[in-house]
Amino acid sequence: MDPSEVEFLAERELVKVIPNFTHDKIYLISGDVGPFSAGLPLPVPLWLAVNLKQRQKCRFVAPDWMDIDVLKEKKQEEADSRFFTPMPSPHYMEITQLLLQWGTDDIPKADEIRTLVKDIWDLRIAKLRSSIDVFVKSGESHAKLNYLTLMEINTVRLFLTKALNHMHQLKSVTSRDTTNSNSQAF
Amino acid sequence: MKSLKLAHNDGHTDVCYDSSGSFILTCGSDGKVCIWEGKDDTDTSSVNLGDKIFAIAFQGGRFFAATEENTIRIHTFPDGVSDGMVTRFTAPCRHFVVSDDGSMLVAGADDFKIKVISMEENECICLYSEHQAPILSVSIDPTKEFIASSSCDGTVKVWHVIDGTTEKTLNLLSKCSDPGQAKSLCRMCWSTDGEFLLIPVGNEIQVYLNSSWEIVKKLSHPNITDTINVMIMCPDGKHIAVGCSNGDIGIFELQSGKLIDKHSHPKHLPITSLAWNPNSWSELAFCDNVGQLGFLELVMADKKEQAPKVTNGTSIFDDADDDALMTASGHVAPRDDIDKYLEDDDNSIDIGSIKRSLNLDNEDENSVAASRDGDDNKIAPAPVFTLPPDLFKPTPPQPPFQPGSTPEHLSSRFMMWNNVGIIRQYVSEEENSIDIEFHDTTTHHALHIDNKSEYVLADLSTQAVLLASKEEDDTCSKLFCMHFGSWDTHKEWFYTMPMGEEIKAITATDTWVAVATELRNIRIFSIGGLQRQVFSIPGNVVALASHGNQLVVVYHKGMGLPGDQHLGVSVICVHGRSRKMLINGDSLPLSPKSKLSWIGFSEEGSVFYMDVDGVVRMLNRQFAYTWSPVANTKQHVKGKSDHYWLVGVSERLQQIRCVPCKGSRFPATLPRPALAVLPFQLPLCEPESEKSQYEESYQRSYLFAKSLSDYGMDSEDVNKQYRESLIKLFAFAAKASRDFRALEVCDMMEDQSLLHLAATYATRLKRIQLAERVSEIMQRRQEEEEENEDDGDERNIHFSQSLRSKGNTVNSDEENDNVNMTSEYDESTTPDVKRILNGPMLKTHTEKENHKVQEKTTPRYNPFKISRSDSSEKRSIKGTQVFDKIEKVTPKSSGIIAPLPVSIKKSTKKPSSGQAKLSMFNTKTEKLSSKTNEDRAVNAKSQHSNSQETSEGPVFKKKISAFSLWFEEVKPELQEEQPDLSLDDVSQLATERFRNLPKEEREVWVQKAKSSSECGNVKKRKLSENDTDPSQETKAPQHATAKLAKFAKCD
Repeated sequence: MDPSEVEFLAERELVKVIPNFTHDKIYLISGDVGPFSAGLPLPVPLWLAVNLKQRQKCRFVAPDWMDIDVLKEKKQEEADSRFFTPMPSPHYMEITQLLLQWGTDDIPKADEIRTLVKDIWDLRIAKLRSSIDVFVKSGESHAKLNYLTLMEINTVRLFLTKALNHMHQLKSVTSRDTTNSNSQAF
Repeated sequence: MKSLKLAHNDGHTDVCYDSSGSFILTCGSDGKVCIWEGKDDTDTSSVNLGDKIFAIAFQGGRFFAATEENTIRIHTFPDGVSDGMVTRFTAPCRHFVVSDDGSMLVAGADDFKIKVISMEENECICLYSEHQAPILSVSIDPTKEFIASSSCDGTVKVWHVIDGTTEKTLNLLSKCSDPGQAKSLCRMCWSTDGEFLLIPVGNEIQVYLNSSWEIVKKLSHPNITDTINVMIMCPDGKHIAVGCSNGDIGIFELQSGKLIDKHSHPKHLPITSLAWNPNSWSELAFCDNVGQLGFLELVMADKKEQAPKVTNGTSIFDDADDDALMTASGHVAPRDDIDKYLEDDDNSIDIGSIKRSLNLDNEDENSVAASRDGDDNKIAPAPVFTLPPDLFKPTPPQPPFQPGSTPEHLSSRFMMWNNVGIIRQYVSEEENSIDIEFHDTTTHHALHIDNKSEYVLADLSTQAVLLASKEEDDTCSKLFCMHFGSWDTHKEWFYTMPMGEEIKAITATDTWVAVATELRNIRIFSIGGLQRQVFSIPGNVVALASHGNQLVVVYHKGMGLPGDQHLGVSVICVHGRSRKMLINGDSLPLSPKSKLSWIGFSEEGSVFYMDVDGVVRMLNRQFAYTWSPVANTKQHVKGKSDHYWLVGVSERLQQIRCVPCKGSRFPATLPRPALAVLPFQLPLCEPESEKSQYEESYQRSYLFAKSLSDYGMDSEDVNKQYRESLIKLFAFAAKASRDFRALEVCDMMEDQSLLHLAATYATRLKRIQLAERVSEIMQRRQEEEEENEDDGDERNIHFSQSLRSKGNTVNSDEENDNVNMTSEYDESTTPDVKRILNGPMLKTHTEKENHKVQEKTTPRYNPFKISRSDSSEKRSIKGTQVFDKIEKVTPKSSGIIAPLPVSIKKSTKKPSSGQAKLSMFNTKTEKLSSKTNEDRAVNAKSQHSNSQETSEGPVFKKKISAFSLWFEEVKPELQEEQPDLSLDDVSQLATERFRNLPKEEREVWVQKAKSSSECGNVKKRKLSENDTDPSQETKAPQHATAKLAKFAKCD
């Protein structure tokens, strides 16, 4: 999967915006949006929010979890826990990136938030890598990780699957070799 | 001794009383000054000064603190706001005293210097630097002549205030280099007359005579074993309290030199400060060196009254044990309180103690006991000089304000936030500008204008921005309007108010603006700038709001009850065709002791307002124009000092739009406030109970449904909501066996379908009586409806009716009613109006040809009419009458059975008991004329056989039902079969046969009937349910027969 595909899926998440126009309900294939009343917040899909923002037709409203204290706590929780902790949104990374890219003036303390989210991301990726390492070294056949987000999985998917495939091949070759050597009688 | 309170961190702690004796101030090494409200206070307020505080004193409403940063700072009491600095040294000041009258402050610091500062001039009038080591303590002579100072160089020096010349040096103490190492703080006291100087040396007090500086007495006691650290003179001048390094507090009587009382610190920590309550000489506060504050209740503090107590316990005067002392002294706590004395002495800057030490105690005493010397700095005696409690203080009237704005003194504020946009004002020394932003950018783009004319009031509508300035010294109040919605080139206009008439409040709509002025005038201008109207209001204006054609003015009606505002409100229709007053000067109801905080209109146009307590009320047009509370924003608030700042209300969405503010009543401009939406919640009792929730939901949705429909807006959702609530309420009541209540709920239902649902539900629950009663209500309603409908339908049905009515037997009652209705009926107005317009005059209108026909058929036959009197009689009759009628009627099978297309919607309510059903059914039938009865029965049958609508055949001409069609076809056969049967029996047989037909066949006939019948303008009374109650079937044949017969007869 391409990261842009993951972002595409993430854009279906709902975020709150404050439009500066008034419009009735819009009936789209994916669902209904609206009605829009100027100055009043309403939830819309992220893709629509970004589009409206680019056309200067709305203002973002920061999601509840996009707050310094909340993120600091989350980061602490993630650091303390051995396993993965549930994230405020299954697409937190994408939402943060898009909102902060287009709506820096709407989100208070954007820089700090960006840093905090990046820190959380780094923590989780590091955990993921180390857990893969442990898995491979232990030679187990199953592993289960909870609360991973799609974006994080996507970073390792390609490499991990290929690597595991190779390893499997090598294992089977070596085992064949040993059996062969066993069977060979000189 | 009560348990000690931890006031500060470890270290030297100081305590003092305020002038009134009701507050205790302590300071410590944590840099805080804690203010205790009396000795029992647990919740102190504290002022953070930052650095360690070594000494504290109170004088004249302010307190002084000697801090680690080498200064003595002044702070106001009780706020603790910094009020300046007295002086500074090059080293921390360890001790200072303020003279009783507050004119002089003497401070000694670690840099060996002592400064005498005159408080009035704020100048150092004397600097004494004779000491060769850090100063331990200072003391002012009550006569203000001398100052005694002790220092680490082991000397106590007495010197003149004026010139700083040393009078006497006494080498009494041991030498040390640092106050922290000193064995004793050596706080000295002067006697109140200035005669004696008391110096604690070791574990005794040495009394020196003023002039000769010789020891005249030594006060000591075996119980006081350790070095006396601090000493304080009681305000009465007769006692002195000493605090020791081992935690002992002793009280000596000066005259006798005897130890009167002794207490010990529970932990035997050294006492670092003592303070005597200037108000009550039995209370002594002390502090130890770990930051704790304690209190001592002493026996002998009061002069005479205490004397007996003192003599009681002679042991007090003896060198008795502490316990003996305790018991004798009665309410002296069984702990060592003497230490408190000692503490109080030094570190507590109780004015009393200071005065004592300065020998001003006499004055203090006197002033406490009697009137003050008129010295402002003296402590006000608490009991004597308070205002009489019942002095009437008038409630200050609320100043005028713009709803939706933040206070004017802020440098960046909201001038207006409503549902059109936001106006902000930024004021600073250099600039004064206004920012206008619209919610909907299609209204207008954002504006930024310079505010040279210093406008402070603003309002915003979709067509214009209105600004107004206050009156300055020479400039008049100005009104400025930016009419951006104007289609010509001039987009603004302004007016200058006459001198002396300041603008107090403004409001703007799309077509007009209004301005309220100081002279109690309301000036109305058109949006284009024409002056339209000036009128006066009976009081000072508080706020204005407007919407559409309506203006609401809130003003002061008079002085309210103490704490309350007395506001009046007028709602006037100032624009449009009719100018009228909807509410004229009624008092605006507010919560007790509350003020108005917002008033305005909802988006749809109802008046809403909110008071300071957060209760939102609206003008309830449905209920006699009362002001009903619809929400309480305080319920949604998390913190106690959080408030909601209202910006708008929407009835359609049933929400209140506001901004949550933490810790204040209004939001700051930055960060951009987030809008929150609160739902309405009527304040019914027991809001958590299910029943109350239904009631609340019903009331609320009913209120808004009616309100919206008043405005002509679609209120489908809300309608649905209130109807649902009604049904739920009914179900709830019925399930709880509260049938009476359930019936009351039915009374509230306006809709027949709802009643029908209710009846069905009741029957399902086997509540027969309830079901019956509900059905009665239904019928009653139906009658009323029919009457109303008749009024409306008269004209419609007139033509064809006239034909029919010729041959119809009509009841006399009907006649009368018909006549009445005739008169009304020609009016081309709605039934409501018809009723209103009924009268003799109307009869003249009935001049059409129809009328002739009508007149012919004087009793115009109204098949839908339910003649009341008749029905009332008939209703009482139960089933038997039907049968009577059946006999009377001659059987006749009519060729054309044209049933009246009356859908017996109501009749489809099927009570489980046949009897009930019969009665209901009968009452139905009996209400109508015979013909209609028949038709209805026939209809009932046909309806019964299939869905409801099909019974609606043509009104007047041919009313064909499935049965009739089928009967026609079958009749000849039947007659052949049973030639000897009367027609009556034949029809009976036929009906039975018809019933026994398979449903599909019946359907076929029904369809035929439908297609062949002509539909006239028939009121369709929709059946809400399809009933196939077999009991109806059983009854139907008889009825059908009867009806057929009657029909035949009529025909």
